Amino acid sequence: MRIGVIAHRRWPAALGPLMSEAARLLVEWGVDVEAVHPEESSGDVAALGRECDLYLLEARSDLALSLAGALEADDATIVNPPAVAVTCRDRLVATRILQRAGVPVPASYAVAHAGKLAPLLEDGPLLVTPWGACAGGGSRLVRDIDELDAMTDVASPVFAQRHDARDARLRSIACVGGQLFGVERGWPDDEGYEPFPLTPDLCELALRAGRAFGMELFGVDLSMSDGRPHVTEVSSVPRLSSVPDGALRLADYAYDAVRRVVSDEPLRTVARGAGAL
Amino acid sequence: MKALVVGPGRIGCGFAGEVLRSAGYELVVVARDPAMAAHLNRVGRYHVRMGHGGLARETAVDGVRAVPASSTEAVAREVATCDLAAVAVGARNLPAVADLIAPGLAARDRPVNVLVFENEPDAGGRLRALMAERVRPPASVERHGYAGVVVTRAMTGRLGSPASDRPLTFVGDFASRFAVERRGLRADLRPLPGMTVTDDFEASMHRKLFVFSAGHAATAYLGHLKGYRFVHTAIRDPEIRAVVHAAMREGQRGLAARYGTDAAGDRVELEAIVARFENASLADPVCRVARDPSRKLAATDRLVGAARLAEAAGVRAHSLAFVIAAALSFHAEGDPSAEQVESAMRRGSVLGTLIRLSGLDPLEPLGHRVGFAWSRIARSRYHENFLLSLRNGSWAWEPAPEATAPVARPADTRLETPA
Repeated sequence: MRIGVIAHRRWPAALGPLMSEAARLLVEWGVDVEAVHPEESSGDVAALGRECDLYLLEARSDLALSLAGALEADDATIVNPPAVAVTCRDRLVATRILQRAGVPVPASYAVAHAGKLAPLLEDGPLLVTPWGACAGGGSRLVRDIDELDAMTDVASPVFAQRHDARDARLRSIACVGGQLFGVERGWPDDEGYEPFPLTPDLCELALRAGRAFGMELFGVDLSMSDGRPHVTEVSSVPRLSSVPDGALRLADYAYDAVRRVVSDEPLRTVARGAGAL
Repeated sequence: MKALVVGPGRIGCGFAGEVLRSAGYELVVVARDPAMAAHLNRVGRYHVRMGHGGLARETAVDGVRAVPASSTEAVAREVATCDLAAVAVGARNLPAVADLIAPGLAARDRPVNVLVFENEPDAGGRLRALMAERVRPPASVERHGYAGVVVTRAMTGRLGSPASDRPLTFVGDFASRFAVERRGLRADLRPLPGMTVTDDFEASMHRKLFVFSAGHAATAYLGHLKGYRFVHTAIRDPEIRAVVHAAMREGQRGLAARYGTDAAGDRVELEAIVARFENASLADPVCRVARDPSRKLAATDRLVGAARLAEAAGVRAHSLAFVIAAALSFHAEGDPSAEQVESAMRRGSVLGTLIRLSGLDPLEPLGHRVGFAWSRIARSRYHENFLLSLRNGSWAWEPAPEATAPVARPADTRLETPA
């Protein structure tokens, strides 16, 4: 059994800490794990080929997504399909998909440049994200015109979401094969995430978001507004580094997934809910 | 020489058949499933794959033929002419096996040994008693041997389908020792690879049940509680590992008090057992090992039996009690035994369920220990929920505050951890 992890090159290890630990466990369990670094590819399109039974797509760069897409065209099985990753990265499209699936999302705006957000600030702060950024990367809280004017370095276009100023927690839910894990941190000051217990409502929200994209390995970021949770972002790469035994759980899932692939069993399971005993 | 194996399952084919064939016996398998009998007759062989870590070995067991259990006359002919018989059908199916083999045994001139490969301390005695109800005169049952067998090999699965023409493959680990109950034997028993004949079979069986099997079940039930899919994954969780280790140690301490320290095993043995649970080449699902909890919670079985023996020795079996509570919470769709436990838990208390399933005396401290342990699990024990931490009892998700009243955590619920 062989798993390929499409990831950005890290140093000194080839993979990030959590993925390295998961890979170490998988290797111990008899699975070959290969780190596939798109930036180290020879670039020879003819040389691209499926070499693993299963791929995990961790990197979200254009090159990584294209490489994953090419592998998929070569009948590779990718746990988190590149087409979904591309959709998740496009905040406008992803937000619309969530809305259509009945998932509450904050009021969202896609504009050609940050200056066009000025009138919206009269109704409260906005969380402004450069186009194409993901996992909260580069997001800034903008409360007034001065802060907006200071955003000279943000590439256009931009995506913005209404932000409740009372919400001082960043919450994220990771889904691994139907299992859900909540992590949170204070915002903007705290750096490390900590686990928090989900509620059935949050579980349902996350699962509905995952179903909208057809994923069983994913993450959602949440914000609270008027006491109600909203999904601000969906990612095809869950945030597992702060989940207890996150690497072990990811390895457990990946081992099951690769076994299914080599046994010609269906890979995806229906994401489960919080049914009462 | 001909050996008859009743039951073409993981132990019947994957262990008994392989051992007997390697000792030179012609192998005849009695199968309840006609498709299985037809497959073995068509293909004439099967494989046994043993593995651990990077090591793997596959053995072809050839020269195999089969008789469907429905062909009672053919079965009787095979029983009447075999040189050794083995039974591996699951203990609850022994009455049906007794019906099946009685005519053939009655027709024999020579005594024969029937080796009973079931996880019960007195499986041989039970089959003998079942035979006594079926043969006339009952005293004639003493002509033949009915001896229990305790097997160390973990056989976890079967690959392939009887509908196919490709040989089936039975998957297990490398362990190859097995012990046969001497007092149950009546005929000469030729040496077999890995076999010892023991005068203290009960101690051997309890050692397997109350240490290895208890640890295996503990890994599965706690693994299920924490949402893991495989035994080899669950045992890598440090919390689970600690409780499994402590539960097996409690089992050993009970055994030491009953049978002596030599019969109980030591910490080195525990480490070796844990290393076997780490064997990923078995790809053993948690749900397979955890299934049939009502049987595994029986009074003399691996969990309650081990805990009672420990308690009788003055050992407070906290960890086994926690595992028993986890077993009470096990849920698997399509497992009638789990549904039975779940239904009993809905209708009554933990203690009531244990009294019903395990024959527990309400005054036994074990019942209260399990009750305390259950109180740590019960608050958020919902289908599809799982524990993030055994130690602090944090769940992946919690019900709405008004849905359940919090349950007090008595101070007595501390889990033992290995020194």
